[in-house]
Amino acid sequence: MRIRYEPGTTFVHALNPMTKLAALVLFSIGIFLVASIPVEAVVFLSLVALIALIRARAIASLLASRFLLSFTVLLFLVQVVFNAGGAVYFSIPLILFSIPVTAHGVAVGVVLALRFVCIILASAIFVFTTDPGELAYALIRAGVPYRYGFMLVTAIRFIPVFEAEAGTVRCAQQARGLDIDGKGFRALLNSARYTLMPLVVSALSKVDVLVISMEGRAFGVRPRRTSLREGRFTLTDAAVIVLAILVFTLLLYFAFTGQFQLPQIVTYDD
Amino acid sequence: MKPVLPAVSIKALSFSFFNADRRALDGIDLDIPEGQFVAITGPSGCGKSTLAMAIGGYIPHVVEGRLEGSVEVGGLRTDRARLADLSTRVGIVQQDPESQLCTLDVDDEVAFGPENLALPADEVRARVGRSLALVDALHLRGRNIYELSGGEKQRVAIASILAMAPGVLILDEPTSNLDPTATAEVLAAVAKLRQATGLTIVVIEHKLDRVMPLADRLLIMDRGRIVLDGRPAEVLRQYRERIKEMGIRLPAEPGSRWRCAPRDHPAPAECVETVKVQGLRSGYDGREVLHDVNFKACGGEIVGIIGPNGSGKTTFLTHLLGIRRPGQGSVAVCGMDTRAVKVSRLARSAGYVFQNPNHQIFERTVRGEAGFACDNFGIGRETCDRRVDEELARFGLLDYADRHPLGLSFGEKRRLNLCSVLPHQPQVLLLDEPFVGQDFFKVAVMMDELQGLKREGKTILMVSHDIDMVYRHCDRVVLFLDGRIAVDDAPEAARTRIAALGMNEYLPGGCP
Repeated sequence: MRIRYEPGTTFVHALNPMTKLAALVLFSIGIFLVASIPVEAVVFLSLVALIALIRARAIASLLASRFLLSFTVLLFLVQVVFNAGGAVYFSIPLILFSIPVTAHGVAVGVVLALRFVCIILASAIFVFTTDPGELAYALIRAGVPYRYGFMLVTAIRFIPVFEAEAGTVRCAQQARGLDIDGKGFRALLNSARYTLMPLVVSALSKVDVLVISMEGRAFGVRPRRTSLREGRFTLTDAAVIVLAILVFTLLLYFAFTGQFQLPQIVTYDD
Repeated sequence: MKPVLPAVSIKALSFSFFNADRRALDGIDLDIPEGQFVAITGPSGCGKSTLAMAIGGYIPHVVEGRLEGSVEVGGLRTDRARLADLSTRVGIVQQDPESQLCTLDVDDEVAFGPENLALPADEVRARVGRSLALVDALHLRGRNIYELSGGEKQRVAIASILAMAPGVLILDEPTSNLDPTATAEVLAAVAKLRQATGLTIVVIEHKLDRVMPLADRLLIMDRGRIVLDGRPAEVLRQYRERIKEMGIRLPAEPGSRWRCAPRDHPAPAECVETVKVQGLRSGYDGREVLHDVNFKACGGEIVGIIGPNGSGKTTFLTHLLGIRRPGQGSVAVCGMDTRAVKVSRLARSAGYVFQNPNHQIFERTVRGEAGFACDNFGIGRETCDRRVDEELARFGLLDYADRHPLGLSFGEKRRLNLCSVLPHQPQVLLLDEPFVGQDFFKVAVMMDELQGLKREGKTILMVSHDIDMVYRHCDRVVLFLDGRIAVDDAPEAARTRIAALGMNEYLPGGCP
């Protein structure tokens, strides 16, 4: 299931893209400062509630997708194997040695798996509710030089064009008898070669036109340019940012001073 | 009183591209008075687009090469002025509607230029409104660029140039990527522009019959020179034969009635059915695109498929290759039901040439490219090699056999695309816009070859916006409208019925 921007009227949609970006960054760092299954479970459930609130079906189906499940399970298993400690629940016997499944291993596994899922969900909410164009313009407003900002705008502009072209190229391959559904490394290599080359050629042919079109309209001449797109910065934005910074600062403070410890998993050093 | 300065003044202009010996422009002298509407035409490679680039200042500022002589636009020497200063005096609308739009929605696009000039926001807003109004596109405000049709994109491109408030507007083949409906729409906008503003307009165009009524002056270029210059009607009357010899397609003589040229080779009386489509309904993304399409075609028949973009023509063709499968109804090619057979099997019987050459060139040499499908089908080296050389020779590409296909001209690439589906000898040919980018002579040569293939008993279905060619050379004309076949008849009968539908853009030239 692919997550992409879907226009909507929820309060998350209405937030300023920069607010959402800042909150997402703080959230993604902050979650690493938390090593507690109950706290992370609460965070996870709140994210699920938020997803339900904004009726993001695409994200709901991502949650149940094989991709997310298999990665989460893999992450969990790796932690279980490499973090032995504490009470041994049971052992998985292998030929030469056995892998003990321990309380510590399971706890670390759950924490990391939850962190992973939380970051994926938060990012998905960001992508689902943020118009990429608005984001690009917001970045420009926030001080990113507009020449770089417009690289993003133009890239976003041509994504659907290239998607459509990739579809045509695949049809053209089939029409010429290229087996594109073949399995194995060779088929993959062939598919990449015969898909990428036509797309790159097509992209390059667009560049000449684009250069003339942009230079012909005085792009890059002035150090600053006017922008008709105005950023909305509402009270909600302010509230979200203040809240994000507050929580993040508290987490940092707790992490370094050790005051008011969040419930934590016990660490064994053996 | 001071004499009126010309809007564009070109003196002894010559230009050759970096690493080319031939002069793309060869001693051009041209004055265009303010407010004049100039049409420029000529065979492909005659230098008309290069001239547009020179007037716009992109030569020498963007395109490299050797330049002699001078170009002055609005009192500025293009080689001395900055491109940014030129941009408020002259603007170019290019051929490809897709690639020249660089932002995400219509307002952003039209505001792009004035924003770059750092004009006050109120002035930018005013210009956006005014420019869109001039091309009748106010209703497009707020729309996503990607969702626009080709004609709408082209009108937005014109508006985005108008927003720079230039004195000279150049349109470089603004309609050659568009269907007849969109062509009419864009040219109507240009006609209105001419009336509503005092702009100096230069249009480079193949479709002489559409631009002629608008133009004050017609320039005909050949091999980098301006060979004819004058009032359009007079130029055409005096030099009819000479223009024809250059390979330029002339508009029908005034007053002449369209007459269906006798079919080069009549279709065989007995029909060997190669394509049969019954009650086809199909769609994608939850939208039905084809509604109850019934169609059949015989061996030795050329069928021309016309209609506006989005009417289902291409979707229909992809069904014949099995790339799409019917939702309801059935599609059979050479007796094979497309639902029961793999695409790779169908592709041996139906050769499909797509519209854009860049999307279907996979190999590194012209010969390899032409033999690509033949090899994939496992037809044996020797047979393939022999047939590939035969086909390359037939389409005049044998001299380039060991070159890289991307080094070919656009027209050559198109012929190569056709060569690439012939060596495995499919019974049915599906051609999407085979004539784009070919001048009159090349089209005639290509048509001869297609007639040859028809005589061999192949079925040829071609989608084309080149309405005149379709009427002249096809055994049947099929008009698609909103996912249905609206007309399917021999050219003359089709003409009558399409005229009755009021679809005038889909009638051959010279019709009332």
